[in-house]
Amino acid sequence: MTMNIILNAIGITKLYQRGAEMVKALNNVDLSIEKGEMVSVVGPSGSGKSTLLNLLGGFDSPTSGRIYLKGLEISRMKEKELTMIRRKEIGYVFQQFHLLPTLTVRENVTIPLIFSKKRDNGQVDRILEVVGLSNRANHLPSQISGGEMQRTAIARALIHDPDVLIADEPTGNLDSEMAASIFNLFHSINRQGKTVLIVTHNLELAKGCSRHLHIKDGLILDIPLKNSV
Amino acid sequence: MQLLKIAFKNLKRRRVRTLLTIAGVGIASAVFVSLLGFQRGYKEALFRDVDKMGYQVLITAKGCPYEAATIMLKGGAGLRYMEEDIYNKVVSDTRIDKITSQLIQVVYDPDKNESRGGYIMILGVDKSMLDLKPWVRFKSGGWFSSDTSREVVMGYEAAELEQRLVGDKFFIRGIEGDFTVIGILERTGTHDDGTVFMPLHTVQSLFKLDKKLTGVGIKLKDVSMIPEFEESLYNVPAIQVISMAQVKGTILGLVQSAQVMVTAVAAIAVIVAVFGVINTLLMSIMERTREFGMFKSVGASGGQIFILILYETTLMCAAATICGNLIVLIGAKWVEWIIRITLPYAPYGNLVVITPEIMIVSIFGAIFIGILSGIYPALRASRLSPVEAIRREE
Repeated sequence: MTMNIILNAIGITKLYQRGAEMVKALNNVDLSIEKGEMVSVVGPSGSGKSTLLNLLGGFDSPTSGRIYLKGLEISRMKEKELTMIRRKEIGYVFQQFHLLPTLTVRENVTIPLIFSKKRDNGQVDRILEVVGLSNRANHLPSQISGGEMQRTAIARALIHDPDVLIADEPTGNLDSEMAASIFNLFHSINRQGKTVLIVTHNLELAKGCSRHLHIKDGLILDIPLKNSV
Repeated sequence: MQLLKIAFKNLKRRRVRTLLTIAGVGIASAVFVSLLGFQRGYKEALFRDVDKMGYQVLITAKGCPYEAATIMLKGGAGLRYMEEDIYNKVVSDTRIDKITSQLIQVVYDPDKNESRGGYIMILGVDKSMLDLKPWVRFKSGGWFSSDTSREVVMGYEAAELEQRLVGDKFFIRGIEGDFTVIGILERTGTHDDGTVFMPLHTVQSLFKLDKKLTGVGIKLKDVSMIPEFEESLYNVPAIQVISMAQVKGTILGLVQSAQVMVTAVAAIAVIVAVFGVINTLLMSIMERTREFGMFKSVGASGGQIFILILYETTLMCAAATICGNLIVLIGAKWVEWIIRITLPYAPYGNLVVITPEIMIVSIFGAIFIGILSGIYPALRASRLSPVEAIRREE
């Protein structure tokens, strides 16, 4: 394991019970992601993309295999330790944004600080500036566009300054123009040294990433995107 | 921004459901507060009414002792008469401190209450009444000039209602001639306020009840002598001796029996409200599964989500009980009106007394019940697996 590897998965397998049937979502997958990489994860629906992200983000544990984040084995951590990891190391962006409709943009971005019992020392304003929402800070989600909602969700994922940003279909609910703008934002965040993992169906946008993982039938094909397409 | 603020804003998301839950808990809380207020108010009013009769023992003609006592308390027709000799027999008893005789008459006047009809309560008394009721003060005027004069002393409200001042004439339907208002009493907070007092002999003569009385009120030198005093008059024919302490106990006992039923209904209302809160929270949690997943993804612990849900239920129940208390404070007069038309005897004064203690007990009680009802939904929310919660809809 080199010093630059931030996420390392060794032989991970994930089995799900679906009715009477056992489904193998990931099959003995090995994966290393270096610090500062921007990785797109593509593949057909049900191929195991989201399962991989959930495991790498510490939201789920593998049936077998080990996952390391910055050298710490998160696959065997207890919920309490994983909560601390989520507060410091990982930011998660959802396709559906999951903004609280009664809170303003600023308040939504502040939520992680409340849970980690940290004060806002100006970082909310700074992050809103980064995502281009300074002038929308006091608007409710219902008063902004889909793209702005996703920017708010990205700001919320970045407020605690994590090293890894995981995004699950972040442009799935946006039109192509807004999707391109969100991808540009991810590039900009990546340029600031963050490791970014994005699950997407949008192959055009995925091409801009430094590395592409194609998942099929629970296996990773770490190949150039044009070949996978 | 704190967890409490998030909880508060979450409740605003589903306003109708939140308001309906608050209404349910608020009504249960209002019933509970009314009951506590009634329990306190009725007891206080009853004791005040009985104590302000001024005597501990009442001698009346034989019959139902409690009916007689309540008629003496609230006024009304139906009292039996006894001979005045009884007074002469007991007046020399050395155990007696003060004694007064009374003759109650009730006259129906169809012109009263804006021609809706009403009763005038006339109480024939002598000056010994003032010895038994030392708190009685004259607002204006004074006592009768003689035992047979055609004069009246009016209670505060009777004078207000009839719009009479000292020196005015007073008429009684069916009685020839007029009477002079010789005195008006200050407010006493008892049924005396609505009573028209006349000299005992005048009432006896006007209503052709010569040498008749409806009651003799007695205050003994020593309260512990009451049972012995009752016993000594047990064999006197045609009369009965009623201890006012027994009257208090019996009336209170009757009211408390009714209260047990109302309390049972209130308890059911509280249980229904608790299930309402649990149902609302469980529905809310089911709908917000992904939101809790988001919370966990940004570093919320199970404990923090647990507290968030408890804040929501506490806020709902606190708001509900405050509304419930306000409803009772505003509507206490209506509750009193319902009680007065429902109960055979309701004392004078406030029947529902809402004290700060009752309000504090109800607020903290509702918050406690809110926390109890929130525990199960909060546990369910806090134990949600993050991956289940954030699983994308596919």
